[in-house]
Formats: sequence, structure tokens, C-alpha cells
Amino acid sequence: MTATTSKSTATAISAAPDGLPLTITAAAEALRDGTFTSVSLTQAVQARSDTLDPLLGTYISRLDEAALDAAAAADAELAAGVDRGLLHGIPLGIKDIIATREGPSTAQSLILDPGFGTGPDGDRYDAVVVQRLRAAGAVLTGKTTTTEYAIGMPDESKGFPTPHNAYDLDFWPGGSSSGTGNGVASGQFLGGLGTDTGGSIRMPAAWSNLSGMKQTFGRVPKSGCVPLGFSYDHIGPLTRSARDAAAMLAVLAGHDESDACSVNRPVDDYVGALTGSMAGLKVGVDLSFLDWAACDPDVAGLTRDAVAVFKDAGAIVTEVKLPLWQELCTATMCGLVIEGMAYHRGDFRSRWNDYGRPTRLSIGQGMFMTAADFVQAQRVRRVGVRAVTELFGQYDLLITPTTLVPPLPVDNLDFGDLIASILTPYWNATGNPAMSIPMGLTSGGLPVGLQLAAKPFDEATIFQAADAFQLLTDHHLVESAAILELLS
Amino acid sequence: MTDSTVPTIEDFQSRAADQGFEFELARYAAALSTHAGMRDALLRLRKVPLSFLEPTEPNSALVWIENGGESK
Repeated sequence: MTATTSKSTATAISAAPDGLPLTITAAAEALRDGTFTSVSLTQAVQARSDTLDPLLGTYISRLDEAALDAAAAADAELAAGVDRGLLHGIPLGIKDIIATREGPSTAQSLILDPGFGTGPDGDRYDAVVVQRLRAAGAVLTGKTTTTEYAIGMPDESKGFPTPHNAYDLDFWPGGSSSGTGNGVASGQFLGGLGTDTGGSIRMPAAWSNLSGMKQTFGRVPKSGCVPLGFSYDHIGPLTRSARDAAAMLAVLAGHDESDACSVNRPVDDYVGALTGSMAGLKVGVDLSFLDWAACDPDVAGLTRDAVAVFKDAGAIVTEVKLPLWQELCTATMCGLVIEGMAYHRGDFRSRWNDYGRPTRLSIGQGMFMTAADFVQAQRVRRVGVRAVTELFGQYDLLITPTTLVPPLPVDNLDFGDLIASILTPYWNATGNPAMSIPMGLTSGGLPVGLQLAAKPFDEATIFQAADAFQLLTDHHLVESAAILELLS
Repeated sequence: MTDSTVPTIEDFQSRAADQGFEFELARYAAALSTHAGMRDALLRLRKVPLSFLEPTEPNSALVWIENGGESK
């Protein structure tokens, strides 16, 4: 394993001249010890965006004025002794398929009704998750780039920014939560919201050196988010550290009757679960992917290094084979394009050419699958859930790499190559919580991730292990040399 | 299962027309190419043997399902 400079997660500071905190946890400490105010922190990340956003394609729209107002309010509250918790006064980015009251959401598409996110009274409203972040005192800096309707790949022909990887601008940050990914990775905000239907939080997390959680289906309400595949969609956090993700999910999770899929059960104390230890955890590791021809040698090596960290830390690690792997991944990809087709059929008929080609090619496949295929996909999901549940009778966590390869070149993206490179859709089929955490940089300097999955609603165990891993490795605190050079 | 049912451009034209779409030929060729890329995975999904899925399946389906989806 390649050792990295040891930094305390609580005091992680950027090597850039602005000395920004790298994590939400460190920023929260800085707001309370007087190193930063929320206004000065927000101004600093906005200054980064002035330089970086035009190069990285992070934002669809920046909410500079509203963010500064929210930051001033946070400072006033903190000064008055009103402390709303770790997110109070922290700049966060919101993927532009999630409604916010400041302005329209685009879903990075010419198609979406500009009235999306407007209530019967004509006023714009916040998605439930945005309401919760605001109530926690977060500062929303803007709406971030995605791929059209959170599927496919970038399409410059429609006039939206193309996101670039913060670790090498010639590469893609992963998607579809691309702008949230490269925005956190470049310090334009300290955390953000993504969505995940087949891997759209975990892929950009892996490829932008972040911690990204797709929690259990139904754990976080989706009301106010543009749907892609109704039964596969999740909204979740992207952050540098697992501790930060735990703090965000603690705010986001919980029942809301506006989402029929939302589950009404208590939310665990995710931050309290961070014991710093993974000793005794039973961990199943599927290393068979490392033998696949498509698996990059650096990904294979870094995965073995990461597994060694688990063993050294006292986890009980056993090799396993995840059941129905290909079938469950296919059940996700087939199901989501059929569900997407059901949503988009009317607009496809009337505005076909306004859709980007990658969207037409991916969701359009739903036109050519049968009802029997859809029912079979749902039945296979049920069988898969049973098989995975049986496996979780023996293990606390199941681990794989997040992707088979490092980030793909942004100028030569192919949808088939992309789907073949990700190991994420499996957990959208079953609904289990799954998280990607950084496991180091390849020899080419590109980030890759390790995927941890757990029993339904056991996000706390994932956070516990991920946090313990990050106390031992610091991969998540390795900044991009390219960004540091741009900021120098 | 042998893949004797690979769709053709004409099949795609027919399915699209049924849903109110009509495209130029090149678009069907592109769609067919994308479909071909996921064809093997789709066939594999179709042939997963499934046991009785209580409670969503009717009791009368049990024997049929246990026979692998074939009347024997």
C-alpha cells in the first residue's frame, strides 16, 4: 500500500493558498474556533468557483447571493449560540434534478417543464431533502451539472456544460452526479447531493476521490426530484469523508409522507456509530472481479491493498461470490430504461430531437423491451433480494471495487463501455445500502473506489467501517495536483 | 436458449410505430446496435430459473414456475 501524508480528519486543511478546510467536519470546527465565518467560507468557495467552474463544468446555476444571505444568517445564529449541528453554515451543492426555491431545475435537459418545482400557488418549492438541509443551516451554493435526466453521458450539443474530472481535466468525473462530484473534489463546496439509479452517486465518488452513499431504498424521501427509474432512484450525499457523509445522511434520512416509497422507521445515529474500529466485523469480499479481463491492474492492486487494511484492522475477511451478479445488474439496467421510457414517452414523441443522443439511445431502449422482460426483471430482483439476504446472514459487509477501471476520457465516452465498467447497479436492484470510498490513485494519478454494502437500513455499519478505514489510510484527503496548480 | 429471436430493423420499426414513433432508418440501426450490446445480458436475465415468489405469485403458478416456465 502506498502511504499518504497522515492528516487528522478533523483538521484536514487544503494545501491551496486559501487554506480551505477539506471536509465538513474540519469546516464545522473552523466555524466554531473562529478560523472562518460561514460568510468568509462561502466567499472562499465562490472564489474557487470563479476560477474552476469554467474549466470543470461544475454548475448549471450558481446561487451566490442567496448563499451569502444564508451564510450571514448562519453566522448570526452561531454567534447567538444557536447551533444546528455539523452542517450549520456549510456550503453544499445540489444536483440540478432536485428542486430548490431559488430557481428552475433543468435536469440538464431542454425538455423538462420549467415549471418543475413550482407549487399550486405559483411559488417555487424545495425538495424535501433541500428543506432538511436548510433546516440544518446549510448554505446552498448552486445547482450542479448532471447528465440529461441523470442517464447517459455528456452531450455538448444541447448547450450545457461538460463536466471534467478534478484530478485530470482530460477525464470525466463520472456521472450522473458529475458536478456534485467534481465540485466537492475541487473544494467549490464541501459536500453535496447526488442521485443514484444505477450508480450515479458511487461512480462519481469513486472517480472523484470521494465518499458517496446510496442508502437503503426508501430511507431518504425523493419528493421534488425528477425521476429516472421510479423503483431504483435514490438521493444521497457525496463528501470527502465517510464521517461527513454520515453527518449529511443523518439530516436527509427519515420518513416523509409525500413519497410513497419513503419508509417510516427510526433513523440510526450514524455519527455516533463511528467508533473508529472495524475489529470483529464480518466482511465478505468478492475478488472474482479482479480476474475479469476488463479489470484494470491498478484497480485490482488497490482493491487488494484496501482489503489488507480491513484484515490488519481486525475485520474477519472471507472471500465470497455475490449471487446472480450479472442478472441483477441487468435487472437494474433493463428496469430503469423501461421505467424511464414510461416517463418520457410523450416527450419522446413530440420533442425527440430536443433530447440528447445518449439519452435517446439509453432510455429509448425501453421502447424495444417487452412487458415480460420488465416483469422478469422485477421477479429476479425478488429472488436476488432473498439470495443477498441469506448471504448477509453470515456477513456484516460485502465488498467489491466500485468500478473495474479508472475514470474514462471525457472526449471519447461510450455508453456501452461505461455500463461495462461499473459494479454498482447490483445494489440498486436489491435496494441495499452501498457506499463508495476512496482507495487510492492509480499510477496515472486517477482516483478509484471501494464499494461497501450492508443489510437494509444498516448504513451505520458501512459508515463505521468506512470511517475506520479512512482513519488508517487518508486516501480521501489526497487533493488533486491539477486543482492545486490552478489555484496557486 | 438459442437466440433465434434477434430483432430486426423491421421489428424495431413495428414496435416503434405501435407506440407512435417513426424514425429514419439510421436511428433504427443505432438502436439495434445498442440493443445488440446488451442482448446477451437480456437473454441471461430471461432464463433465470425462478422459484415460487410468495406472496406475489398465485398458487396455481407454482408448478409451472418450478418446471422452469415450461408445461411438462
